[in-house]
Order: sequence, then structure tokens, then C-alpha cells
Amino acid sequence: MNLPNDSHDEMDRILSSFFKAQMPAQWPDAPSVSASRSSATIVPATERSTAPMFTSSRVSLAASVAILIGSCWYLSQSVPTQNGLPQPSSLIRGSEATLPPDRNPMKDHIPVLPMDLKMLP
Amino acid sequence: MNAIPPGNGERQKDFETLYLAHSREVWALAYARWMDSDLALDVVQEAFMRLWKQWEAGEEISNPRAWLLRVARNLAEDYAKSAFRRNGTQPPQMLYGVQSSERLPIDKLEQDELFAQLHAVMEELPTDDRDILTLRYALDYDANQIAEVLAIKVTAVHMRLSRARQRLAERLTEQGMRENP
Repeated sequence: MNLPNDSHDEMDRILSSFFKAQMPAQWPDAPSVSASRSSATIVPATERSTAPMFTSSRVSLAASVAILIGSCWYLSQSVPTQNGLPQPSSLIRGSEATLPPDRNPMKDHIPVLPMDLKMLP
Repeated sequence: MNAIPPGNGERQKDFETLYLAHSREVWALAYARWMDSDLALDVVQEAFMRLWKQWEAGEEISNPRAWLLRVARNLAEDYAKSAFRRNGTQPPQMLYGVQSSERLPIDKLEQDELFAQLHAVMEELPTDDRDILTLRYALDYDANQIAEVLAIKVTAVHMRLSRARQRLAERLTEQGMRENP
């Protein structure tokens, strides 16, 4: 591989062909900005700087939380109570687990204090 | 071309005009930094995308060309600090030596060998030299245009170009290229 004498012109030619070979054969197009362009169309520049951060996702989240809280409150108000205890709903009425009175071990159980405790002043 | 063009269509048109006018300059500076054409193309795309985002954000850019060139330099420098650069798969000079299994004509092989040698030598040159050589030979810029891009005087361009060529010739000679008898 030789570098010719008086190589200015030859050097120019070699360097030119080298750098040209490094460049892409087909220059790519400008990057696509269509997606961001559409969003720019929706939000005008004058409003953009002062626009609140309520994006659609945030609004959806807030609405979901509000619905959840509202539903809980509504249900808590709508359950009928009796003697301070919630009544079972009509769908499961009579399905609660209870023992027959004669088989309830706690029915006639009267706690008896130990003798030592009775002797205490 | 200043700040934000009034309409979206105009902005898009200005963007494409800027791309046509300056994308090669951006590529040249990024290429001169890393001697990697694909990486330089990535820098071009990223620099122009950032310009568009700046426009969208309402930022005023009084000199888009200078802005793009500065961003391209910064992106190239950021790449130097990136984990990919430090821990990447293979350095470019290694990948450059990978040869295709396809059989090539002799002259093509000679040219590839010459270009590989040039590539290796070019990597040893200072970045300033590579800036000038890339703009001169990749874009065929004259001294005035180079001076404008690099923001230096025309006389400085002549001097730097001459020195860069001299250094390149010396390195090539050291690397094994010999003068014709």
C-alpha cells in the first residue's frame, strides 16, 4: 500500500473517498415528529405553560377513588341495623352458623370464682 | 428562523428545512468524535428530536444551527461517559476488523485495508483535527464554511487543516504506508 509522492492531491482523493464511504449511502429522513405534533395541536402553546397537571390518567384515577369511596359510604348507610348490629342481607338470611340451644356448651355455664379469691377481703 | 414558528405546519416545514440544511454537519461533528457512522446518525436523530421538543415546550432558540451543533457535541460527550461506551460489547476498532465471508474483489480488499488503516490512524488524531478533516472531506466544505461551523477564523482553518493533514501523513507513514520511490 503506497502513499504517492507529492501526495497532496492523492491524499485529498483518498481522504475524500474515505469520508464519503463513511457517510450513509442514503441519508435518512428527518425524525418523525407527527405524534408529538398532534399533541401540540391539542394543547395550544399559550395554555400549555399554565395547564394543570390533570392528565386523563390522573382524572381517571381521581374518579375511580371517588366512586370507590362513595360506594363504601352508600353501602354502609344502606345496611339495616338492629340493636346496633348489622342485619344480614336478605340473600343470606337464615344462613348464619348457629348451634342448637341444647348443644351450646356456653348456655348454662356460670363462672365460679376459686375459693382463694372468695377469701380475699 | 427564530424561536417557534407560528403554525404547526410551518414549524414542521422549518424543522425539515433545518434537517436538510444541517443534519450532515451534525453528523460530521459526531462522527469526528467517535469515528462511528451509525452512532453519529443516532446523535443526529436525537439532536433534532430535542430541537423539536424545545420548540414544543415554547423555548426560544435564536440560532438553531449553533444549538444543534452544541447539542451534538454534548451528546457525543455523554456517550463517552455512558455505561455502554465503558462496558460495551466491542470497541469500534475491533468491530471494524470483522470481515465478511463474502469474497471481495482485490481492489475492494485493498480499499478496505486502506480505509481500515485510515480509520485507525484517524482515531489517534486529536478531535480538532478530525473535526476539520471530516467537514473538509465528508462534506466538501471550504475554509469559510468550516470556520463558520467551528466558530474559528478562516486563517485558523487553513492552519489546522494543513497540520491535520501533516499529522495524518506522518502517522500513516509510521503505520506502514511508504512513499513511492
